[in-house]
Parts: sequence; C-alpha cells; structure tokens
Amino acid sequence: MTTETEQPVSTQGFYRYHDVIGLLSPAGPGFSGPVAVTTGPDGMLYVANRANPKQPDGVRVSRCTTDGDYLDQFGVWGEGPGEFIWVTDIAFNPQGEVYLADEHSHRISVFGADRQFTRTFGGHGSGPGELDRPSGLEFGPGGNLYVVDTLNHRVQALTANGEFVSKWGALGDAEGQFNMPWGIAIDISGDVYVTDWRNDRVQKFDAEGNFLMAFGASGGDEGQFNRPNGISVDADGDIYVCDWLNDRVQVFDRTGGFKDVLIGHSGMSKWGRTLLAANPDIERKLELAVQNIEPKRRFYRPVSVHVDGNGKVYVADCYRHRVQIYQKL
Amino acid sequence: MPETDKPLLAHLLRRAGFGATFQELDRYSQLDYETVVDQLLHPELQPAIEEDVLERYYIDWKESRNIEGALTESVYRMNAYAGGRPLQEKIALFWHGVFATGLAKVLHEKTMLNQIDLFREQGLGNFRELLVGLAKDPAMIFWLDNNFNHKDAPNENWGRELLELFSLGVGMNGQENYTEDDVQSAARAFTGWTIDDDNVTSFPFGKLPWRFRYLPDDHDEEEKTFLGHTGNFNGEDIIDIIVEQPATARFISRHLYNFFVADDVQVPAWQHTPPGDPEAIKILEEEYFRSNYDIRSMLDVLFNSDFFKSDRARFAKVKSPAEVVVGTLHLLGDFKFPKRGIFDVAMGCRYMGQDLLNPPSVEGWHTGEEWIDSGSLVERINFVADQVSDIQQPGVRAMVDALLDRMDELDPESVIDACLELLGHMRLHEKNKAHLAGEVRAMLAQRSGLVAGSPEDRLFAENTFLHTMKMIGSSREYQFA
Amino acid sequence: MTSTNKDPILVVVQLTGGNDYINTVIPYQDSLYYDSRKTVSVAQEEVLPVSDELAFNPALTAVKDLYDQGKVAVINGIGYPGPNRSHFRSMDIWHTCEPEKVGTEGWLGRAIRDLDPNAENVLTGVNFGRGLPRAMALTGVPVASVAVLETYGVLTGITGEQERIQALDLFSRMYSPIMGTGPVMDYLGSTGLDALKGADILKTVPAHYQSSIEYSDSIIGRNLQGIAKVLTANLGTRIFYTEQPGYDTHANQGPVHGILLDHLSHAINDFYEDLKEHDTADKVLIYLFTEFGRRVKDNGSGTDHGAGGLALAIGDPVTGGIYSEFPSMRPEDLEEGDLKYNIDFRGVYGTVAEKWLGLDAASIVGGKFEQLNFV
Repeated sequence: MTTETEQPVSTQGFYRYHDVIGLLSPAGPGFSGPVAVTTGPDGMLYVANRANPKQPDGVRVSRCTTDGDYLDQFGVWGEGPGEFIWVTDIAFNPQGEVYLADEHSHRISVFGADRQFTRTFGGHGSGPGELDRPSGLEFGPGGNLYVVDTLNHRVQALTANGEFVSKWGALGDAEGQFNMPWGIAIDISGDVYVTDWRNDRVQKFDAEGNFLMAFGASGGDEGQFNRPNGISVDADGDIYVCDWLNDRVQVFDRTGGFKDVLIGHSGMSKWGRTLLAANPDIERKLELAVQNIEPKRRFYRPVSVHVDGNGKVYVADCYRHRVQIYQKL
Repeated sequence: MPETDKPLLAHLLRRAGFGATFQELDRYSQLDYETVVDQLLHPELQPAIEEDVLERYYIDWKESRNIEGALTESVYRMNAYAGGRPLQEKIALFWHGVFATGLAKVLHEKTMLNQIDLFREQGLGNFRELLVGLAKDPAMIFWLDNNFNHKDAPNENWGRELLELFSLGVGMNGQENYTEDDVQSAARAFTGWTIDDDNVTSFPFGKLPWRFRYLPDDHDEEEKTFLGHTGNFNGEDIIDIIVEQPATARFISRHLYNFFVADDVQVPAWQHTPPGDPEAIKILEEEYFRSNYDIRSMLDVLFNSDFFKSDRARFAKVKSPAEVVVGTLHLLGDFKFPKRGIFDVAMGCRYMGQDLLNPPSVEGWHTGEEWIDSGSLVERINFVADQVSDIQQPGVRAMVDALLDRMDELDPESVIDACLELLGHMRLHEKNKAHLAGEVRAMLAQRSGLVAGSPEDRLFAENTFLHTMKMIGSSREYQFA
Repeated sequence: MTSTNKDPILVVVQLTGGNDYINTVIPYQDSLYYDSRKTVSVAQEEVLPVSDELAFNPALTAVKDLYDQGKVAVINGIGYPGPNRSHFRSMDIWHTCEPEKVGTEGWLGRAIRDLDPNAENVLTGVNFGRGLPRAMALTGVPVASVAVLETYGVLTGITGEQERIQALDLFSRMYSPIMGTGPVMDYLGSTGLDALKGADILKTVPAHYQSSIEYSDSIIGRNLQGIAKVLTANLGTRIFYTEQPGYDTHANQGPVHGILLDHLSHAINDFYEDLKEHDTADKVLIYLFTEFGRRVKDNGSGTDHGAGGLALAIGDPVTGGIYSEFPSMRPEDLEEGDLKYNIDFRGVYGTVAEKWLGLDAASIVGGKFEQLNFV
C-alpha cells in the first residue's frame, strides 16, 4: 500500500497524518466495530468495541499504547453485573475510574483503574437518574458526569455515583431542544458541547445547561453535517466533530466557524503488517485488489474523536475497525 | 361507499405482502379493491424507513461480515416495510427465490444485500432490464463464476443457469427449450462481464462491496448461434432474444402464479407437467407480451383476476418461512424500531428451512408443501405459538384490547371467531373449531368464581384470548396463506 | 415389529453439490488425469494410493486407514443413463430412483416403509439437519428431522406441566385426520402427530449419551455425533441421513475441496470410533454418495458439472476393496466431455437394501439392476 494520495490530509493544512492502529479482529490485537476512543490517565488508548450479534466475544474494551502496542482487553458481552451489550461511550473520572455506557441495558457501569468492575447505575426510564439509550459520557471539571440521554432527548448531570444533579432538553429543534443527541464534549471551563444528531447541529451550553450557541445545518458542504456523532474539544478550544454520514471529521474554532476537515488517509497498521507477514496469501490478495485500496484509506463512518494534550487527534473509524491518528500542526 | 370485503383484502395482503393487522384492514376497507391493488403496486410512492436510525443501532450492518447478519437485516427490512411497502419486499423475496444466489459461496454480505436491493428497485419493472441488471450484478457474477468466463477459457455456469433457471426453463409442453450449443453460445456472449475484485479477504480493514466491470479484451467477438439466431452477440443481445420467447413468458408466468396465487408443481416438473390452471397462465403470458415484459402490469392483471380472487385461491399456498416469521412480527408490531434481539428471531427463518440470502443451490428452495416436514413444522408451530401469545407485544395488546371491547359475553364459538378475524380472517375447519371450543369452554367454566369487571376477571379473559390465539397459531390451517 | 440390538442400521451421508469424483479417487498413474486438469489435479506425490491405479485424495487420511483395514468399498463409475447436470434434477434422481420422470417418493422412504410397514416406530428414520431430504420422503412414512437434538419438540414454550399436557392433547386432536380436507392438510396432520411422538422419545437421548470421543469441529462432525447419540440410545432407528454441503466447486476447487474432504475424513473417523466404543460398529453401514461427478477437463479454476461418479461404503460390515471399473478418461470414451457410468446407482442402492437391510431391492429402487458384493 502506498501512502501518497492526490488529496491533502486536511484541506486547510492544519493537520498531518500520523499513524493508524487497528485490524479487524474479535479479540486480542484488533478491533471489531470500534465506537468510542479515548486516552486514559495511564496514557493508554482505550477503544470500546460493538462487534455484531454473531460474534458477542468481540464486545470488549481494548487497551493499547498510543504507538499501537496491544496491552489487554476487558469487559464481556452480557446483561450481568459489569457486562455490556450495546456499548456507546467511555469516560474517565478524575480518580481514574472507567465509565461505560450501554444503550441496550440503559445503564452505566464503573470499573476501577485496574479495570475491575465496581458498580453500576441508571436503569430504563425517563425519571431523574434514569436513562433511555444513553450514548455520550463525559466528566466536567467539577467532577460531575454528563450523560447524553438519547431517547429522552436530554442531557443529565449526575454525580460520579449516578445521583441526579440536573437535566435539560426535550424533543424538538429549538435552542436547548434535541432530537436523539449522541456525543458530548466538555472544555476546560466546563462548557458542554452536544452533537444534536438528528438536528444536524452542535449545541453549546454552560455547566448548568444554559444555551450558549449552536452551529451546523443539514448538508455536505463545509460547516454542514449529516448526522454528527463524536465530538471533542482541544486545549485551544477547537471543536472536532465526527460528521458521520459524510464520512469525515470537521474542525471548528471556538465560535463555531469552520476551520478544517479530515477525510481519512490511513496507511497500514502495525497489527496489519504482522498479519500480512504471517499470511502471504492475504498479502497477495491485497496486492491484486489494487483498485480497492484507495477507498480503504478513507474514513468509513467515523464515530468518535478524541484530542489529547499533545494535539494528537484520535478518530475511531468504525467500519474499518481502526483508529486513525492525526497531528495538529 | 360500502366497505370492501375484508377477507378478500386479508387474502390480498397475505399474498402481496406479509399479511395485515386488523387496523390496517379497517383502513384498506375504506378504499375499493382496485385502488388498494394500485397502491400496493407502487411502493415507491410510500415513505422510506429511517435508514440513519437503523445504522445507528445496527452498527454491524453496513460492514456486514456474516451470513446471519445479512439474514437478520433482510428479515428486519421485510418487517419494517410490511406496512408501507409490502409488495416491494415480497417481489424482492420472489426474485431472490428465482435468481437464487447463495452467500455461502459469495462470502460478501454487502454485495449480496446489494443484489436484493436490485430486486427491490427493479423487481416490478421491465423483465429485460431486470435480467440485464442481474447479469451485471457482482454477487451473481461471482456466484455463477462468470468472472472465470474468459474468451479463451469459457465457463458455462452463468450461461446455463440463465437459460435453465432464470428465463426459459429446461422445457415446455414436453419439448426442450434450448440445446447444449445454445448454452455454450450464451456463455461465450457473456465473456468479459466480470467484477472489479474477487478479493474475499476481510483483512486487515474490512470488506468493500464489489462492482461490475466489463473487460472488452476478454470478450469473445466471434459469431454465435443462439436459439436459431446468428451474430456476434454480446450479453444484452442474448437477453433480447430470450425475453421474446414464449418459453420465457410461460416460465415467468408459472413462477408468478406459484408465488402469488397457488402452490403448484415444482420447477423441475414444468417441462412435462402442465400448469394446474392453464387459463390463468395463458392470461399472464398474454399480459407479458402485451405490456412488453412489464412485471407490474402482469401483477396488476393477476391481483385483479377472478382466479386470484376466487375461493380456490384462498389459503391455497403453504407459507414460506419468511412469511411465517415476518408475518408474525408484523402482526405483533414487533421490531418496528431497532432493538436487540432481531438476530435470534430472524434465525427462525433458517431453522424453518429458508436460509435467506443463502439458498441451498442456484435452484432455490423447494416450496409449497415441501416447506413442511417434521422438522420445520415443529419450528413453525413453536415460533408462532410463542410469539402470538406474548401480551407485551403491541400488536397482541391491541388485539386483546379489541377483543375485550367487543365482547361482553364470552362464549367459546364467538371467542374463536373473533380471534380468527383479528389474526387476519383466518379459518379453522369445523371439526377443529369444535375441538378448540371444547377447550375454551373448559377455560371459561373456571371464570364463574370471579367478579365480573374486576381486574382478575379481565386478566382471566385476556388469558383466554391469548391461549385461543396460541392454539389457532399452532394449527394446521394456520400454515396456509 | 420389535427392534433388537442386532438389527442392521444404515447411515447415509449426502455430499451435496456434486463431489468431484476423480479428485477424490484419483487415477494417479494416468497421464490423462494430469493433462486434463492442469489447474486442479492433485500432485502425484501427495496422493494416498490404494491400488496400482487409484489413490485417495491426500485429505482422506482416516478413510485410507479404514481402507487398509478392509472396511471401505470404493464403488467406481456409478451413474445412470442420460445423465442430468442440474443439481435439483440430479439430486432428485438420486433420491427417487426416477431418471425419466419427476418422482416424489424417496428410496429410503420406501425402505423405511418396508422395515416398519405399520409405522409403529416414528423414529425408524431420522434425518440430522434442516429440512427433510426427498430420499426419505414418502406419504405415510414419519421421519424425524432433527436440527438440534437437545431442543427438539412441539409447543415447548408452554412450561407448566398441566397446561402442557392439555395443550398437547388439544394439539393431537386438532391434527387428527379429517376426511375431505385434501392431501396437504392430511400431510400436515400426520406430520404433526408424528413429531409429537418422536419428540417425546428423543428428549431422553442427550442425558443418556456417554462417550470419550471428541468430535472435530465441523458441520458434518456435529451431525454424525448427533446420529451417534440417537443410534447408541437403541431407539430402533434403522436409517439415518445427513449431508455435507459445499461440493459445487466450479471455481477455486483446490483449497475448498481439500477442506471438505478433511472435515469428512475426521468426522467419519470420530463416528466410527464412537460406534466401536459402544460396541455397535458391526451393525452400522455408512454409505456416501453425491448427485454427479464433475467434468474431466477443468475450467481453469474448478470443474463444472459432470456425470459418472463415486460412492463409498464404509464400516465393519463392508467387504473392502475396489468395485466396478474406473471409467475411461480417453476422449473417445467420454460422453459429451463426461465419464460414462459403469454401474447403475440403483444397483448399488439395491445392494444396500437387499444384502444389508434384507429388503426386496426391486420394489425399493424400481427395477432389477446389477448388484455388487461389498456387503
């Protein structure tokens, strides 16, 4: 596979391609339908996998170094304590505990920094502290957990133990209303950004849920979205949005003005190279598949984005079972 | 305007779709029959389902990697459209049975799902165009090895099956429709019709659906003789000759009759065995030519015909497993919004003998009474019995509530009749109704100790209805559509 | 009819798709073989010779071992006049013994009927797999078609014991014959009642089965293990059926065929060892067939449908060896590019029916055909 293409890595040139981590695999070094990516307090990459009904073993959280060395995985498929079925997001609290949201069981499970299960809260419903298909999770600087409560079309703020603090939102397209919201990000001042999925926009609120601004409209041009989901805010206040059905990641400045866009420029991953070295027949097939290589470099449903303190942008490229990594210049 | 006959509408919806709920029949009966047929024939005028929501929750569908995932998606979609666009799904199921292509060999789920989409989009259109689309379908090309059909090394598989199974049939009226030479000419005409990539590996980053590609350098430009015509034929020319043949009209008409009107003998018998209703086939053949090979027109004639509406056609088909599964889901109102569990339900189709998107061979499935054997019958009975008595399902709840509303007095025969009506104007033989009535009578006798109108009484009535529906669903009669 | 522990049992394995005869039993000394099959021929140094002329495909290691013990009969050149190259049609012919017209009665259905004329035992014939093969179909002959042994039964959703008894009672009344309702209703009725009866018996099997054999992981392995469970439960089953799909190797034949034969070989071995462990190997005959062989010349990647083919009979009751002539591959001896057959398959069926099951061959296979001496 070549690494040169005609299209630039990012249209405005603020980013360069760094690396890709991934390989289709239901266990071990590899991912299977990655839907959430983040870095933990241990500096490692955590990736939540959704897999498919025929391969429930593939449902897990994988852990690896940011250089792509596999470490371990935790979590199993199921409805029992600490198990999950439709995982949607991962978040770390200031103490380093790992929180996972499950939109089938409508609950959040907590694991210690050693990744052992400790407790769970939530439960199906529309009352305070209850959830209906929770998707995004993020901790605010004050230590509260913000949950995107999708089918209740609202955001809830809870304590780290799931006790209700506050909520805002209802079904609709006015300011402060949502339609099946998905992702959430929080900046250093505690402002909350939510991808308002079916309204094709991003809304920004303060920590109490007061509306601050919104940007985005339906479409495929710059600044437009087709069902945005993952979202992250970096130290400069730039906002990264996974423009899901447009198969791209758009970057905006703090005012919501368009800044740059990534369409995916993946090369071959370390795990991929290992697989090919062990399976020369697969490598031969890939060589024969020359005209299919180009499309495989692109994002295919980017679902989650995370920017770390060094300007590294991690994008969970869901249907390509990998995490593409870019460097902010 | 008087209401259109509901049993007739129920019959129409069972054939053109997967059956209708009692609320749907109430709505349809406000229109006249011809209007309902016309509506069904134009599914494209009804709204599409919400694809974004599907993709959000069934995150494995777009990059589907196993046969079971593709089967599940197909069952979900059939059920999702069973209310709004039933004939779109039924015609796709029909063509899938005729142009049987199997995932066990194709091993590319999205590519196979794209083939079914071809049937959804073009299945009611012009038959010539459909055949050309099929000849260019990457799943079909790979399935019948046309990607190995080269100018200097022909492979006959597609050429043969195109004639034998997809258009002419082996023979008609005791005669053969084509020779081995015709098969070879057809094969040569399709050399160069290939796909962009037969790479079947998922590694390292998943699959991409295949696309059609034409390689002129690999195409045999020599003269070919096909069904008495000679020329430097390419694939489309072969198809042009095929669609003109009376044998094609017969073959397609018999297939449509078998699928939409009444069970008849299986395909291998067609060379020597005349159709069960030759007049009906003749009417369909005439429409085939009159409409310039238009499937929608043929179905318009079919659904409006006496032979379709007559009592002879009622319950004259054994339901296919897809109809058992999807018909039940639609009746229940289940899985109309994505949630977990559709996978296990959809697998019922496989256990009943119809592995959707993976037929046992290019000849498709044995249908009609051959769907039934001691294995599949057990599966069907258990599936329906369990589902139709699940009060948590919105459709079941609605039926039970309607029954509670309608009935002040509960006597066994009325209970059974009411249940049969809500289950889609189904029928039970008198003797079986009497057996069931005996059971219901025994149940109702235990009600005498309860206060009329109390919650316990209501619950008791509910359970009586549920049990009655369960036993109707397990009956022999319920196996027919 | 009472069943004793020594009644002969037949296990039929259908290789579905058209197993490639001459890559299974290979004429490894014949240059014509290598010339005709430049792509798919098996390398001479890899085959497993069983005679000066013929060898097994290298994947059939366990079958070769059994052959060396005299327990495998190779039946060459099996077919019928006017070979049909269509899967549907050809498989139907093998199932019904009707090359000329479309039959609906299966030869095994007839055998089951002859073994159990009054259908006293609904488990006389058991199929492991989905759906029922036409070979076992005959009106009035019950056959249990078991997908998963452990969960086989009717109205299994009714859990309360009293409710279940009542429901099954009502079920059996509603499935009783009613005059004048037509053949399909009759068929549904008897099928339902037989299923009821069979399920009651079969549900006791899994708990009683004990074996040290670890069957290898494949479809055919699982099916043969299921058969072993029912067979060793001594329920009176005389005919078992199962299939291994996937033999339609028009393309990429090399790797695909090898894997299929490998699975088959292991499964046969595991099954045979299981029978020995249960002291029943002497009463079981395993018969393998396919709906047609494949063309002599390959098509550059695989082989297309052919004609004359191969059958195998395996087990303690077999007199091992090579039966019937291997058909000539010389171009002038071929029929439209395919091998001619040397023995009519109905004679081989007849051999099994008469010499093993003790039945009248002619009525089962529809005529008198040359038989062999492998059993």
